[in-house]
Amino acid sequence: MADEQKVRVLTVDDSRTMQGVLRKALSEAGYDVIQGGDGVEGLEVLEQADPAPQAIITDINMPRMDGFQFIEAVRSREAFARIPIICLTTETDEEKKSRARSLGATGWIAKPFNAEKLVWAIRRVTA
Amino acid sequence: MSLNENKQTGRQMNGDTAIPAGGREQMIIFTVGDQRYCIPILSIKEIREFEDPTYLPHCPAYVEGAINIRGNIVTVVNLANYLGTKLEADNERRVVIIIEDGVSRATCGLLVDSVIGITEIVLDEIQPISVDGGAAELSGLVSIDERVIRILRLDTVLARLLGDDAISAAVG
Amino acid sequence: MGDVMDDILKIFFEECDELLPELERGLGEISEDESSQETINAIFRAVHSIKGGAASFGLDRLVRFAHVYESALDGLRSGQVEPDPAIIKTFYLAMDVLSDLVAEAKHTGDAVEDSRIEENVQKLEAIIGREGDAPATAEVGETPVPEDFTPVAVDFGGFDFDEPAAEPPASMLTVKFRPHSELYVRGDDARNLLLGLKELLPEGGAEAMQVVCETQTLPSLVELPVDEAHLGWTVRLPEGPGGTTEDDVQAVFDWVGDVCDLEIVRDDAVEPATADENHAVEDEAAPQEAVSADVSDSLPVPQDEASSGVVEADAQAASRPAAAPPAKAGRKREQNASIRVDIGRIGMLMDMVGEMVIGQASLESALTREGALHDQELVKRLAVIKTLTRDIQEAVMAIRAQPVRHVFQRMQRVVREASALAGKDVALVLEGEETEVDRTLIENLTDPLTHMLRNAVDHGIESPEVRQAAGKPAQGTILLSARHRSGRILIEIRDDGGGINSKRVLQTAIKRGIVPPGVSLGENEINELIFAPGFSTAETVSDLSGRGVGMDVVKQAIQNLGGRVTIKSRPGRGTLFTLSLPLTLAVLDGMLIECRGSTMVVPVSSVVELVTVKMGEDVYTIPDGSHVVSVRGRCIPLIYLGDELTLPKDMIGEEEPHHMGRAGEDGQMIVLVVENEAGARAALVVDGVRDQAQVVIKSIEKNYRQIKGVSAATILGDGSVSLILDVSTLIVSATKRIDTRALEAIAERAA
Repeated sequence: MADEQKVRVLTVDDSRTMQGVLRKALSEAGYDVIQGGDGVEGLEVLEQADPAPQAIITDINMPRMDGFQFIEAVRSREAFARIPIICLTTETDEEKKSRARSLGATGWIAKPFNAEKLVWAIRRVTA
Repeated sequence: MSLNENKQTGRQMNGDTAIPAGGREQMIIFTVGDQRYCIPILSIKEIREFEDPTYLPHCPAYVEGAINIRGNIVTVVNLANYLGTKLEADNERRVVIIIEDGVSRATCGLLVDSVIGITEIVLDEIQPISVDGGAAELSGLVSIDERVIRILRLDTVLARLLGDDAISAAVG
Repeated sequence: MGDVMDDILKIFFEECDELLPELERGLGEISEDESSQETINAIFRAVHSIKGGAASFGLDRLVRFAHVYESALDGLRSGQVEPDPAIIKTFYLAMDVLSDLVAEAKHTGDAVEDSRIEENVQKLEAIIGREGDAPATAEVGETPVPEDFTPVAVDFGGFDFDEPAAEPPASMLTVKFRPHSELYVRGDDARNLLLGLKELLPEGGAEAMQVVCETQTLPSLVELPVDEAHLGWTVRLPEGPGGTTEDDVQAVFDWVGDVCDLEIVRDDAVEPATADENHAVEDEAAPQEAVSADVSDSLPVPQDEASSGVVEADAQAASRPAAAPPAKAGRKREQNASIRVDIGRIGMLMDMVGEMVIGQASLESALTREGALHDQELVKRLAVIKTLTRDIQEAVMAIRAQPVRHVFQRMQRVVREASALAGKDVALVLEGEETEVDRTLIENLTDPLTHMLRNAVDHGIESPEVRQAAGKPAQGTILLSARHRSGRILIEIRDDGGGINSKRVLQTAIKRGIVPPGVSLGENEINELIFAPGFSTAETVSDLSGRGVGMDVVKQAIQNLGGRVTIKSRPGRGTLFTLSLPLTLAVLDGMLIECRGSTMVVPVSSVVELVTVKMGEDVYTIPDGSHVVSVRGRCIPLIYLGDELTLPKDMIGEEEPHHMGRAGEDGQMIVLVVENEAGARAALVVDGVRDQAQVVIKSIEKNYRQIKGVSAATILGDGSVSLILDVSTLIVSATKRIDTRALEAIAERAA
């Protein structure tokens, strides 16, 4: 990780549009972006990533494995237990937030977001 | 045919092939009957020997037929018929120049008597031709070594092939 | 950069094209009571994703509508709303609006009328209303600030600092925080919070922040529980202009409110942060050190090995899975992995495979000419290549194959709209949506199917009153199904309506001069008449199925796809249309015929039979000067293909009556009896039939105009271009009528 110039971020979202938006915003801010199309794919990408990402952004509502399950799964793996995870969601509902938090999410960003908000959040956890 | 439409395709084609810097353009010169013509070299995909094409039903007299170029069906235009002159008789050197429109990607072959060579013309030296004179086929004249060379409008050729109403008159 | 955004926008629209059918399918399952929670989640997600994507592009109309829709669907998801037919209908209509709003944003559709949006919003809000007091329309532009947060008014006026960093600030904020262990479990870190606070300060103003780490609760190493957090921090930072506000501080702690004790104290004291002040903190908190320069150092940086070990231990403790069960996430991906490929590339691959087929045929024909095919070894190897070629061709076609689901699902809307307009209650049931066909075919199926379904709603299904009077359920049913059968795809449209009124059809056909009065036709023949051009005219054209298109156009369209339509009707019971289509438009089974030196291809699907007729005995001239031929007692118009296609005559051809083709010496002619989809037949006079072969279809219109009587071209084994005949237009243009039965009657009289 030390020799990596860029901070690597994994984004997990089933919407290709959102993936595009995330990739654009993050890579323009100088991050190295890797992506997964749902929780299952996110985990695969995470496990294969070398170096491992320094932060994860995940959507909540996804097919196959949703954001909650994904967070749980990431946290259950010792190697990734401390990677900050930020949920990306339009859910403003406190119940969902606290569920995400109780499963180990570090923070959240409400959609729609702008690049600034996104970068702020990443910086907040990867300082 | 709609003049506007022609202008438009003309612009597209010229836009694709013209080299604005210095106002010069590389042209290939060929003969049809006893006249010399030229077209921009950048519009040419290849030059090939004449082979017997497949006759296309109901085609106008200037359509020689269709040939297969690497799996694409390409129409061959008999330029002599198109321009109202005659091809040389028993010409062994005649060739088909395959051209492609940079924009529409439409392709066709031009059957000519012979290819003479490449020249660079100064765009400012092109003398315009009045369309009233019935020369919609040509975009201008240029003199090289005291010979008049006619500049063929490829957009008109392709527009006619792809079908417009003026053609029906030509269908014999 | 704009390009990137454009690309993403394109992706967004592509995604909408995938999500909308998914929504439709989900709604279909719900309406059929087959829905699971997963279905409901999927439709919710579809709308949710469209909304999310649209928001990224500022597509406000789309976002607003999707938001209301989503809120309404949420009631379904949470189980507060039971899906009754009325609600499902509302969701369907909303889906149509959503779909039209996408088209509007994409500029492929007209702007959606505000009144229509409003109407649908109201219906959706009525559903939301049932959920109880859930807010109908939440704010679209949500922010990461928690709802319960109340901003604190800060008075910026009256202060003017030239160098706020150097000068003591007017007031200081003291932020005391103590993370719980859970904060670390969530991948956060006190360091992040400290850096977050530091970022609140203006550039170069970091010195104004004082950080004290509290370690007094840290037990000795031996007693240290490995999974507990024991450190707290006290941070003092300047408030006000050039400094920071309480809001900012709150924002930094926004995510950790529940796992971190936080206390923000605003000292109004104008007292500068002096050493004394520091001491005061020290006294109460036993600070290890106070740092103001680099926040990273504010971590309890080890003064000795022991404390270093403590911090590490703490970190590791936190990183251990608290009590998380080994989640099912561990399972490997079971679904088929897939990649997205640009359709153009597959097209290219398909073209190249076509080339290979041609190349292989040309190799074979060259070898045949050389007489090399006597060599058994060569024949064997050629056979291997042929098998491989065919396998590759099939494999590529399989790549292009897509389930018909997408087209079928679009028909739901067609039927919905048509039945609303006709005041009928019609359910469309889909079957075999997973049946796969070549995508070019699928694209071309939409229009004919749309028309046929509108027709079924309009003419097939009776009004609810009539149905009930006949003892049928008020709701009519149309079954749209697809299945494979012997290398073709069969699509059936079966309605349970009144069937075709053959008496009326016959009357209409006679009235319109399609058949002569007094003609005697079987039931099926009469039914076929609805496909005759000119059959549906003003009188039968309703708002629905009309639109100036008759069933003849449908039949033509199907035939252009190399397909056939058949019709079966049972009075009072319903009508069944069956479409039989090839699986692909890329290749065609053709009969290679010779005519005046040209080789041409006739689709095998149009060929009825090949017969030899005697010119003197079998050919008659009818009063209008055209010729008919009697084949098995049936009079069929004769088409001299060479003349019809203006083929140049052979230079060496002997003088013969031009219309007679090239008859044999004994006055015989070879005719190929072909049939169009309306059942009209014609006999093509040809010189001979060469072969039957699968040919690769090539477009002529890419580089040339449409040719009457020719549908496309192909390339033969010798590399030459060969034209594929369009039997339908040939028959029409040759006879000027598509239904030749009237002509037959004339011919019979003439004979």
